[in-house]
Amino acid sequence: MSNDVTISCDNVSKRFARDLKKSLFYGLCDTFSELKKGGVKDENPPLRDSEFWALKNVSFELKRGEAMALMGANGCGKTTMLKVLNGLLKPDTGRVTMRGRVGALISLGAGFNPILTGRENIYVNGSVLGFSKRDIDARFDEIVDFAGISESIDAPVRTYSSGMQVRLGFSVATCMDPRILLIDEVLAVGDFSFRARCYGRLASLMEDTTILFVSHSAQQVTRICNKGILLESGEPVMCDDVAKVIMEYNRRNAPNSAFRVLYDGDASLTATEVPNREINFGGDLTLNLGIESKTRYENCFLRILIRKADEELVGEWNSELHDHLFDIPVGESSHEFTVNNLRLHDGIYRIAFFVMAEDRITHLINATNVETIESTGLCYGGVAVQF
Amino acid sequence: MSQSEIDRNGEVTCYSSASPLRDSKGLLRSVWQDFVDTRELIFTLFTRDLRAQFRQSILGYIWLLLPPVTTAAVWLFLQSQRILNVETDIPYPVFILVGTTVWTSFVNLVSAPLVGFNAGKSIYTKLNVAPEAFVMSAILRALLNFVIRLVILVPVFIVFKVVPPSTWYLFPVAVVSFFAIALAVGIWAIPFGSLFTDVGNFLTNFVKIFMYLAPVVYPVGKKTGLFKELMINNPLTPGIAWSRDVITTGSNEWAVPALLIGLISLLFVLAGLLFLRIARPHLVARLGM
Repeated sequence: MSNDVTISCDNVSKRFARDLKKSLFYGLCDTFSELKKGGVKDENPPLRDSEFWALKNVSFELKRGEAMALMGANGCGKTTMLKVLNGLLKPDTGRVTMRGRVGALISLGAGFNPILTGRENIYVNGSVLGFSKRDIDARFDEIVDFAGISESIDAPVRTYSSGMQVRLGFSVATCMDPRILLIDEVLAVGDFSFRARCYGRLASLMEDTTILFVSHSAQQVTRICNKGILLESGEPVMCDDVAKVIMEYNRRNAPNSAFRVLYDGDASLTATEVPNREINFGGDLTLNLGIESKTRYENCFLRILIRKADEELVGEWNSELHDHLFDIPVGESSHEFTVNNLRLHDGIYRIAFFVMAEDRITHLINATNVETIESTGLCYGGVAVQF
Repeated sequence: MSQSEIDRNGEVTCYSSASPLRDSKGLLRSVWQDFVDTRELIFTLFTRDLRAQFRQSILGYIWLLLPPVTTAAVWLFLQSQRILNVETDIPYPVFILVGTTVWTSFVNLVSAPLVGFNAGKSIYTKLNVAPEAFVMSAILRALLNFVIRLVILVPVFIVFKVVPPSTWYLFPVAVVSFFAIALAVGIWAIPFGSLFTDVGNFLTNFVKIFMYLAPVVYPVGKKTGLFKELMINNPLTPGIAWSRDVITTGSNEWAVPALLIGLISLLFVLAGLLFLRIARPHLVARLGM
């Protein structure tokens, strides 16, 4: 049903200027161009000197109950997009239609005056978010309870810790039920028990709400969203299932896997090789190492660390646990290791490894971000390691 | 279709690149709707600032009275030392205190809209809040400060045995027509002043000069000459002279020009609010984070 479409964004573009003085001047020009007869404007306005497209031809539609992640590298236009949807910025082309009350989890605690008490600030913050005094009166206790600050509610907000301030802000912002919720990287706040409650609150809203979520954290995104859109320099490059978008985001933004050896003493690494970088779900990862050593070491073992593109550690393989101990002779030697049955969700992973001496303390070789591998064949499910 | 058109029942909002002037009725309606929607916010912001203003001060609201009182004291001192030779129809202290009270509030009202607009910047560049709410709450605060300053006039009138004439009830009308000039300047300063700080600097540094060209601390002189011509033709003169006359001498000599200028200024205020509404998204875009 077209009635269920709550956000429709049609061919939206927005230009910004890099130069401050020009930007201010263009602001005046744009204002006066609105006053021109009939307000008829160029459908495809050109870029002026020092301008660039902060958003270019972005289109999507979201229905009730859908949650979309807005992903992309820093400066790709995510916040600009949210501001256009929230009606703060006027698009230079295209149009946006929002159906229903819009709530925003952006800049939590806006309007807080540090010298006023928490109680007073709840009303200020609520008022800024468009809630009436009566609305807040009715939910006041609920807000304070959820924030968990009932003891300090009558103390000035400047005596609060930053975590407490954000908790109070989150609590006020989510106390009403919006039809559309815009979230800008605010979930990474508070201690983890509060974060868990935040997810709970969002989950309870999700059924009737359309959510647009800006985040760099694949973990947060998969927890909340079912769709994703990837922006690059203001242009949408992909709009699809969230898992595919995260993968594409990681592929495009993976750091260079520069060969980096943190430590090597008597033994040094002469070669690393991963013969097969693309590994099917359940397949094997092979790692070949060339080592040159001045001393003989016996009963060494290898630890392989597997990280996601965003540096999150997802697993470790230890050769000792697979009865694979090895000796490093004086001079050149080569070693092969195989990790069997690699059960990784689709995505880009990077591996680091240590060669450990028999004493289990000495790192003979310590190499980080050495190789990039890609796992394929399992595109559903959101968690990296699948059993 | 207008830039932002809200169907109250379904709450459908559209944002597009089209100019809001293509639907001028819709624009007027949405400006009005904004004021209706934000009246509670305006009041909340107003009380927030009021409570916060003096919470960390010992003298508190006395700070509101100090500026006009000190200005008046300086001029009284100059008069008592016969450095100046000012003749007024009413006791000079009364003349000067009424003048500086009204004038100080006028100056505050000129800068209040821009100051209020800039103070809300961190909020309306991130959340969908009408910036006009911050402007209105700053104006309300300036007006409240004026009312508090008026209180100090009561003992002064008693001490100098000045009985307000029967025209005293015209005082609000006279003051509003005078303050309308300040609001017109202040509101038109927002779209330009928020982009370029030159405007704010100009207002704080140069509006003061007009005090010497208006009957604030001395009356319109009897001697003819360039100075008198400047003073009579100063658009601020009728408003301030009439405001003082209605509570002291009872003369309505300046009533007609004061009302006329006030009325024109009110029209400018309304046009300024419309212009601000059109400029709003462009200002937000340029003010950034």
